[in-house]
Amino acid sequence: MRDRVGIVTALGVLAVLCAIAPLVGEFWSGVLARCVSWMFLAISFSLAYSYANIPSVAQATVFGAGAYAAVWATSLVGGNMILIMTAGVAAGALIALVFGALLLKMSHSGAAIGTIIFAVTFSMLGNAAVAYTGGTDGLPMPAQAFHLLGMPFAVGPNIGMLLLGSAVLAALLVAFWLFSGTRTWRVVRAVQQNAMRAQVLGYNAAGYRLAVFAVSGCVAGLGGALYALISRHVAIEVVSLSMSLKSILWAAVGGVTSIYGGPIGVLAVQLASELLLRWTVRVDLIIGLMLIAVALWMPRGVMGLRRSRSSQQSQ
Amino acid sequence: MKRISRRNVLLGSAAAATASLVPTAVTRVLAQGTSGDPIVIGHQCELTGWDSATGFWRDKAATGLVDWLNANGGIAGRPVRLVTVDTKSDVDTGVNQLRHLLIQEKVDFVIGAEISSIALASNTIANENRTLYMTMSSSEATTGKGAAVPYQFRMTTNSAATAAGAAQKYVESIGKRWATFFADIKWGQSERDWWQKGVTAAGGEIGRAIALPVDAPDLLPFIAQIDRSADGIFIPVLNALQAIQLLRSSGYDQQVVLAGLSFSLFDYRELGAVGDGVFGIETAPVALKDSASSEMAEIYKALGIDDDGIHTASGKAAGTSMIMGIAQSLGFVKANVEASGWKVKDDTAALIRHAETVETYAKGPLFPLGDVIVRPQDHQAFMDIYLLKIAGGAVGKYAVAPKESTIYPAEVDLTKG
Amino acid sequence: MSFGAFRALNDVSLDVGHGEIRAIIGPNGAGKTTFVNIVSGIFKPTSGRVTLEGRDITTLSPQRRARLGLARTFQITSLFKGMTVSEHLQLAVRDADADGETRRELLEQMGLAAFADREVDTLSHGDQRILEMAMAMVLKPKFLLLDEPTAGMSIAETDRMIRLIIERLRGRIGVIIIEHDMNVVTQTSDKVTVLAAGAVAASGLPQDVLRDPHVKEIYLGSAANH
Repeated sequence: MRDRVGIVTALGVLAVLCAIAPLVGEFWSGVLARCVSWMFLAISFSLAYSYANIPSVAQATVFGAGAYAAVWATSLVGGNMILIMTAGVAAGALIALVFGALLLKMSHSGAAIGTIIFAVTFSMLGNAAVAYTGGTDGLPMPAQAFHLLGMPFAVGPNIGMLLLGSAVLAALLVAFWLFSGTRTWRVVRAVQQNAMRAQVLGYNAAGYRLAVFAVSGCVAGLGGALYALISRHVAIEVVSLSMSLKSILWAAVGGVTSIYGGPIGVLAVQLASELLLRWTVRVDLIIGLMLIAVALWMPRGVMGLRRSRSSQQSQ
Repeated sequence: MKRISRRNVLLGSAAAATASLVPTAVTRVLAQGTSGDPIVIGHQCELTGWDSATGFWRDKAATGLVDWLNANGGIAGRPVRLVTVDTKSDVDTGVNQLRHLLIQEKVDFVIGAEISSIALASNTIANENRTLYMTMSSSEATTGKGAAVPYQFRMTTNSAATAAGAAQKYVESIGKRWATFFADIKWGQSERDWWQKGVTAAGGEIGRAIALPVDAPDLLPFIAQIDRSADGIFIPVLNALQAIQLLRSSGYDQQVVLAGLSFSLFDYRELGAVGDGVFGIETAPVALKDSASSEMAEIYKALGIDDDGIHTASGKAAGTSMIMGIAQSLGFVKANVEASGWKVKDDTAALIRHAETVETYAKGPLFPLGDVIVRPQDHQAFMDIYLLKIAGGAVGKYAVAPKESTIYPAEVDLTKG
Repeated sequence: MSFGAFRALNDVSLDVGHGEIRAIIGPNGAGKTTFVNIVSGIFKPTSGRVTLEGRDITTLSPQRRARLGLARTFQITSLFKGMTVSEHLQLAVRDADADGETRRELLEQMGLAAFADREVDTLSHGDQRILEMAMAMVLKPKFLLLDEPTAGMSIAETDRMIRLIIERLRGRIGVIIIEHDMNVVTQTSDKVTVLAAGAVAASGLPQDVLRDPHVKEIYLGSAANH
């Protein structure tokens, strides 16, 4: 049940990022740090889609809630980064619980449409509530003396935040890997595959789905808080539908059924975009073609490619 | 300007895929009569995405005017190299691109983004990098409390200044009673508030302001709420064309004033017949005869714009406020580099200290429409505001609000830091 | 029970005693599976009551019913892809501390021990059906609903299932078995109820009911319609 290759691949990717950061310099360290914060978003989509059975087009809204909560928390409690990240997690969980409770009353396709409505509504509210969100201008992260476990910490798009984000993500992935061998995770998978069957075995299918969706919210919220600490500015674009669509693309490229695919998807798409930007403005067109190719020839993403190859070998 | 709508975003994506053939990093060196190492100016520009309509003009202006500078002695005798990057009208890309300019291209100065979220996220980074950031955002918040930074100057106008200057003129000429129909986003709310202040200060009054939610599929229910007894209607909305068409077809025959810099966002000729009589607020007129400035004529020539304000190659009506913002930003850099004796990037702090002592930039090649005042406290420039009116299918000068009338209180004092 | 204007079950009353195996037969569309879905809590009846050992469970969720000892299998095999046979049994035993020995014994008895660590996708259809049955039985239910347990099975596999039902269930717990195969019905059940058009058409001992001309008519009529 535990995907050893998956966890090793994902941790390997993170280790490589951290190892090369001092070599690639300040600019790329910043780019990679931001990518790591988005990995949380991609993973949260995979969790919601593949394990809570909720095709959520509102994950960026949850991510954004975490990001804004981080900014608000900084204004209230100062530069304690543990508290700031906790605020992001709590905001993500809260929003996901509210969304999830409503979405579970809908059919699968109804829930997809429901999440679009949530995303658009929150974007609209965020735009109108300028006093709290800064609207389209966004909110700057208040200048504070940030500290982590008593040590001063420089936030921003830098190598320190890359290492911190990677460490938190690695811990999360290892925790997930350990959890994926437990009985409870087996129930989650059973509920995901056939909720009715799980129910007649005595499991509260809706409860499990809501719990997984809330966890996906925590992951997105934590990513949002890290994003806010890295970007030091949160704009309403972060909670937009197009950001959610991006998270789906990342998850799809990495392999949506594996949470270990998210990091690879983010890196593949974002680094390709970043490099292409250096010589063309037609980045979106090229990325679009890339995604069509992925959909046609790698429908289960990078992680799925590995599985289909191993199944071909076994045949 | 922060004109975001989902439609714009979608259109922007399509445009990104098809529109521009321009490579992202455009470097130009045309160095007749100049010598020494080039001064490198980075341009963080919305070449694609939803704001590419205004980005088109900033890109044209920056490229054309840097060529012009190089052909006319450069800056302090040194050639100027322009490096343009595309923000894709997206905050994360915009910030990454700025970091690319600062860290990898090691530019000396930056002309910043027009989208306020990008500009606000960027100015802190430029400030930390000790690089002068000439913001092109027209959100007054950019030079306000919590956002103003020492390494940022704004040589274009903003929502507060345009509303303050224009309201007085329009109250005098159109009437005292006003209605406001605004986009319910930061930009719309800000325009509403400053317009209210301006109208009230001019002795006018504003009835209930009607908010148009972003992405509202149908404008009519909101338009129907607008006070019919108003003399004029001020409309800072994203879809101005649709709003004006609906106003007219719903029997509203009031004078309509578009928010500041609207004619830089879209070609006024798109309004067609319903555009007749519509007012706008810009930092420059469109037709050369309205500016009566030989310097402006020179700029038009350098950018390939004819006397009527039409860009010959693209057939588009000039986004004059964008051109002015870029010209004045370059003018600011040139004037202060030359006067402060700036040689290398480490001299920028001294350049800024010098710039804070310069109150006025006199009319000249890069200040083509007259003197420009720069307030040292928040590094905000004030310039004459042109009130334009569409008549007979052309947009012409209606009145000029002098720069003094556009001044509003500063929120910060950067000179005390 | 009604679906919109269509009433699926009308005034169907069934009392199955402890240790009794009751077969429900009837032509397609008679309402057999609807009945099982109502009893297991997947559908809520528009009127009427469901009781388990005297306790009214009509408003309880399927999972609450399962925890009270009501188990069921499905007409279409409903196993979990990517999980092994023994993982299925672990899932079925809700109590995490449940005795692993019991599970192994059960696998032995059901002839699944050799496949314990195999993913269920690799099992034969017959073994998959037996596993479904094992999952229901490992819950140690007080009452079991079997929805066409032999559907799609070969003759040999069907015989194996019949033996399992007789050896492991008869006289131990209450069972309702939905079945089309009259051979299974006559060999396993104590009583038979015939459903037709959502109502009870006949009820009684298997040999009596299956000889009933009215029941034959129902089946012949149904066959003629097909």
